[in-house]
Amino acid sequence: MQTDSTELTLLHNRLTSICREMGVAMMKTAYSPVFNEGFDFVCSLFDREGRMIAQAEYNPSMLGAAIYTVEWMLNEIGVKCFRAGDVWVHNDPYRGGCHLPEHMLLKPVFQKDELFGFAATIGHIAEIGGKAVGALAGDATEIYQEGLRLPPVKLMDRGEHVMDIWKILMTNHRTPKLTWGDLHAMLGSLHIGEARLIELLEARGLSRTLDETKELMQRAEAWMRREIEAIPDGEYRFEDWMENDGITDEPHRIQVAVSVRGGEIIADFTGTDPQTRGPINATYAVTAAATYNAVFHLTDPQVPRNAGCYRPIKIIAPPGTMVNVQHPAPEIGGNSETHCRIIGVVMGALVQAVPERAAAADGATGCNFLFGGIQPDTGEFYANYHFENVGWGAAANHDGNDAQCAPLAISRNVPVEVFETRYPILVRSLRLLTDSGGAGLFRGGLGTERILEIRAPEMTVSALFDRMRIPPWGLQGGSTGGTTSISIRRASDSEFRLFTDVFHTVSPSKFSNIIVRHGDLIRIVSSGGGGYGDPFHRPAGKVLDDVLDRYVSAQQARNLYGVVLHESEGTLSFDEAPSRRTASDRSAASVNLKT
Amino acid sequence: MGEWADRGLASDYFQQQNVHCSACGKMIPRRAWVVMRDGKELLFCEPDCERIYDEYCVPRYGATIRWR
Amino acid sequence: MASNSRYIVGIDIGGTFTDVIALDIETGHALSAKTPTTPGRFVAGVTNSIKALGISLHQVGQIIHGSTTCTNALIERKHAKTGFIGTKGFSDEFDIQRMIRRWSKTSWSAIYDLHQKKPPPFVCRHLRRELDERVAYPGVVVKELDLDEVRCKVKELIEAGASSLAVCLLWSTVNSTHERRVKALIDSEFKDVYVSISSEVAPVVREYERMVTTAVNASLMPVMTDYLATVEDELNAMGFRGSLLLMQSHGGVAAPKVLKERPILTLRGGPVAGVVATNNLGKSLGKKRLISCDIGGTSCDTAIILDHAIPLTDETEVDYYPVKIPTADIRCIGAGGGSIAYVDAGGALRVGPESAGASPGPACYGSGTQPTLTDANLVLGRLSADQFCGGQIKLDIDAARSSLESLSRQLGCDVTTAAEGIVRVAVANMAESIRLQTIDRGHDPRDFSLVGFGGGGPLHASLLAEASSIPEVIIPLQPGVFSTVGMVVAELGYHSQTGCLQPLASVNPNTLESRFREMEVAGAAMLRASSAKRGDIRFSRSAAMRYTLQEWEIQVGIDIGCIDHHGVEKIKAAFHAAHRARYGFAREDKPVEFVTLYVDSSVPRPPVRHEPPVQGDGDPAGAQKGTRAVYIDGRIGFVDVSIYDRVRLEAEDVIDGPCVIEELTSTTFVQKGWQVTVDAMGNLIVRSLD
Repeated sequence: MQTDSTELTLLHNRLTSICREMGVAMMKTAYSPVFNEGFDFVCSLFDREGRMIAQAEYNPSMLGAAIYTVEWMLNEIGVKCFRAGDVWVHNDPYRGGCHLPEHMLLKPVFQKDELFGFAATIGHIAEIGGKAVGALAGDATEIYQEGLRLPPVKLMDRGEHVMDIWKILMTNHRTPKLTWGDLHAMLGSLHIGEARLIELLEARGLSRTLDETKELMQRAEAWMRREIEAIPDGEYRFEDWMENDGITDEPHRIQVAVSVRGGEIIADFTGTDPQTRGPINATYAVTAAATYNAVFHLTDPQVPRNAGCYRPIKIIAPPGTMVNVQHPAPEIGGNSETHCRIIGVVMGALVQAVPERAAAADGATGCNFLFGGIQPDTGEFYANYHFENVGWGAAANHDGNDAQCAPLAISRNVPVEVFETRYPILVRSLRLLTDSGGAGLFRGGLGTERILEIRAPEMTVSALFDRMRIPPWGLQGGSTGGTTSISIRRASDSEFRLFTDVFHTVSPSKFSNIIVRHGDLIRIVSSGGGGYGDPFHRPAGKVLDDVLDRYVSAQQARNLYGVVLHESEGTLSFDEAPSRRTASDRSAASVNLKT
Repeated sequence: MGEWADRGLASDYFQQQNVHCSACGKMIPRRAWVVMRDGKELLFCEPDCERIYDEYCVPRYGATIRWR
Repeated sequence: MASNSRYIVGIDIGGTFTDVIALDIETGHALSAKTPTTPGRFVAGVTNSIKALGISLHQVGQIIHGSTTCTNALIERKHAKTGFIGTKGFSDEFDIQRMIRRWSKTSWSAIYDLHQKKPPPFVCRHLRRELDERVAYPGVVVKELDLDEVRCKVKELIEAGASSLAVCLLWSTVNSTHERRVKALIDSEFKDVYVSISSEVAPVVREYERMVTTAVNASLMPVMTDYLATVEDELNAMGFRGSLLLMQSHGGVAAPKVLKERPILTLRGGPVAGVVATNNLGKSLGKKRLISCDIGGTSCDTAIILDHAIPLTDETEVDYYPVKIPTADIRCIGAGGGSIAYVDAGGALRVGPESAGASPGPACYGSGTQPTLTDANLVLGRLSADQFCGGQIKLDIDAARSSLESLSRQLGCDVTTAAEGIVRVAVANMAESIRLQTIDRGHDPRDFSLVGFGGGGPLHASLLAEASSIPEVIIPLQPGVFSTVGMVVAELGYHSQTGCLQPLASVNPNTLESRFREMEVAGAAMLRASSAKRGDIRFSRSAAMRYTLQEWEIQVGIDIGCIDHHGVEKIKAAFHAAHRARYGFAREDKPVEFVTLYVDSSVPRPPVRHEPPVQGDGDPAGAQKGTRAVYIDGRIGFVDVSIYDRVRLEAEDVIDGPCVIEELTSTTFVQKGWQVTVDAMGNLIVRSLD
């Protein structure tokens, strides 16, 4: 028994390590910052029935979706169609994908002519054609405007390039060199995954390893069920809104009823609004990935990740709604913006069951800003998918982290000194935004402000944001976090104005193909995290420290925290306002949990 | 008792409509778990969804076909 | 050095033990000793160690030390109050950092850990000021520097209590004029405050890492100055007339005055001594593919040594703060003698990374109750209860057994099986670490020899080699104190670097040559300040390079003499070859660029000569001191295994595993199917019989 346990641990570590090696190779050889700084990819291994046996700690939004992307492919094509040296590619959202830029590459692994399973990578290809440079067109109305869609097709046939497919890709992407480089980085990582897996199978034996991976899945499933059993049974509901869809300026509702029944969770999204005309629809795979993400954040983060840990979590998403988009509705914002909202909705429901593990809402947006154009000196297209970090929500015993990647990803930001070598933009500033953390006994994390100066004669920009109007919620009396914003100060203007104002876009947060010019400044503000608990209870000394460090302004200290500051002879001291001593009823956008 | 049968439309590229599991809504590419209930054919992505349908969906929404 | 100073002494002060070596310069012979660490001042440790060796301080010409003063000051946040001056608009990067969430206990839990805590900004917001200046890529000044503004901001920071200042301006790697002018102003008008500028400390691209590295250096300057002043005074008072040298993170030693400006170079100076010792061994054996493996009480430190060169990386951090200086590329994982074994919530057996440390220590030391790797080895008979550390410490096998009882119950097996599992899991963790290092570099472990040392190295080395597909293990003489050899053979060294973000196609060979020459001149000056003779100084050039559009560089050696147009072509070819070796492919048609240029200046040290053992006849029977029941595996169980006394082994003795070889500073265990041969110098060479 114990020896088996050790063997299983060793196998699990080995498989996870293979996935990490795949990721390191990919990161170090890819061309796009979105891969090598953004970690916008995943590497995982599957058995020959298409069940995930290992993953490494890369982008969580794709990890949860990978199950569906691979399953769909194997179901449609059939295992018998795979030969050693083949690599298949697909990015079809309606076939189990996340959103169009996410391309999945799948490589069968044979050991002495017997199929063991598959190595898979999913990566975000930054430019895929479509109506907007950089793909995230905030006002797309159909999948056909969003970029080149590939159903499962062969990219490599027995080790050789299937040039017909490559030609189609190169012709339809605006930056074919980047596509070529990034896809080859993905191929390289698959190659490493296959080689390491074969070494392992040669040492351990194929059928024995398959049996042991089944045991690993059972172990993970059992552990996950125990975690769920520790959550009180019941039905927990929550709802939140996407502010608009880029086409009309109306909010759309996402609603979930999370039933915890013994060792199983059913997240039922019945009642969610129908799919929208604009590109904020999520695929089933995205909704599932977001649900897993929320559950995993509220259970033991050490549970080993393979097909087993996903099984006890069921997702019901009615087709034709915003959480299970059908052809031909657009979906490109679904995997960044709506994904965050779905995570928030499931967390909002579940924290009612386990309030001691709760945290207030995080900024929950990617602040996606796409830009591109033609390089003046080379005449070639350039495109970049830029995203920001957000503040995270405070919790029962700590402030929220400032400026961190939203829960759907694990990305790093691109340093200014890398950014400026690639694009004709001067970064004027990158700062934390004072007062953007929700006030509370514990303060929400701060968002950021970034100002970009355009240095090309002309540049095309698009945006896909949310949380510009409806701020991230606080908990137990904590205030809401700050909202996002994107605005422009034209070279001839003296102040920043919304894009609705200057360019008459339908939505201030979702638009595409706006031409900006040399000297224009773009200001991107990211959202902060919600606060936790009554801000009037935050120790005044801490509020003073926050003001000294300019995380909180003196004004907010007085208005929201009830701490009045005086300066005399260069030192700052405080008084507590009389209203501090009375219990207060905080803003409506705060969620209260039964404890 | 249910059985596995080829019911998906994955091989048909002329139509772009998916077929969905009657319990969870997931798309079914090819193979479905087919079950007869009151003379009607229900499609599931796997046997476990038949259980979800009986234990969760029917008590809540009735024995209806909510979508195809 | 003083005239009757025969010895160079190296001292390694660990948590539990202090190891010391004294190298006799005339004969080349070395004495060593291992004593329990006495808490308190460094000089007390020096006195005890010198006494243990049986020599006097007057005979010592040089003391070499791997100081942890700066590392500890950093980890305990006891460094100077540091102010920061940056380009307007960017100093908040101290708070923003790199956006990624990775503050969780393990890397795989970080993506789902809701309550992980981001490290606080290294310099807090109220001690940061910004200058309205700006340089843009590739070096154009967009906004000029205003020296009055500099004066004003410096005064504010000094008034706020800063005793040290860090300056990092955007793009100073391509144009450092503004930074140098700020430093000149501070040096001339604010003489009491320390200052570090990024273009001198770490001229690397990526501003966040450069800001933090510079701030870390600035924060340690006062710490280093105080430490050195105290230590030098105290050594002087004790009668020491020689010189003190400190180990640097890249494996060279330097005089204190050089390190006062660059205290950051002493970070991670502890583990590097073992790598230097291994490299030295590799040179004497003519082996170009070595893996050094130092297993102590808490960690297993491994490094890949190729072609007799110490591997360097600049991706180091201390306590999550990046430190972008060339550091020996050593991978440290929490797997050591004191690593605690436990069963996780999923029923899996895990070992480490938490350690019982020096206190309470493994259960068998007498105070702790948690089962550790050392307890497992004792239960399996691989360690002697009486002979541990030459008998200085008696191990309690009953305590070890009872510490394992609860664990065995959870696993549903007996204590012996649990102990075996612990050793296997620990060895597997170490093997995994080695795999990532060899394979990440594109190397095949089957081409390597594993050098095992430290208290726990020889005990696990052959098991580790088997688990990693490494065919040969080398256990050097006195492996328990092997790291100290590294200190006395470490070269006097200085590492220079300069930013050079430029495509190869547009680089002027003469300019490139003169940039390397400048660094060589600066390096030579630093080494002469450490008492080197000009004629002994050697230079080694290299560059960090990449394909344009790639983000990650790889290091390429540049050994082609004076650089001309042909030279640039050779450098390009060397880069393609290095990329292919590392990643399996090269893109010969794609443009290549330089990112950073490096020069290593060094002066070699006198060699260490060990007394070679007596030539034997192949039969080790004369060295055998008894037998003991040792656990082999699940099928065979315990078997009576011969125990040998290393000191009595002779050259060319051959011993078949399983066997145990004991000595004062450690125990070697070799499993069934492997064989030990004693080489001409007394090293144990262990090879698989397959």
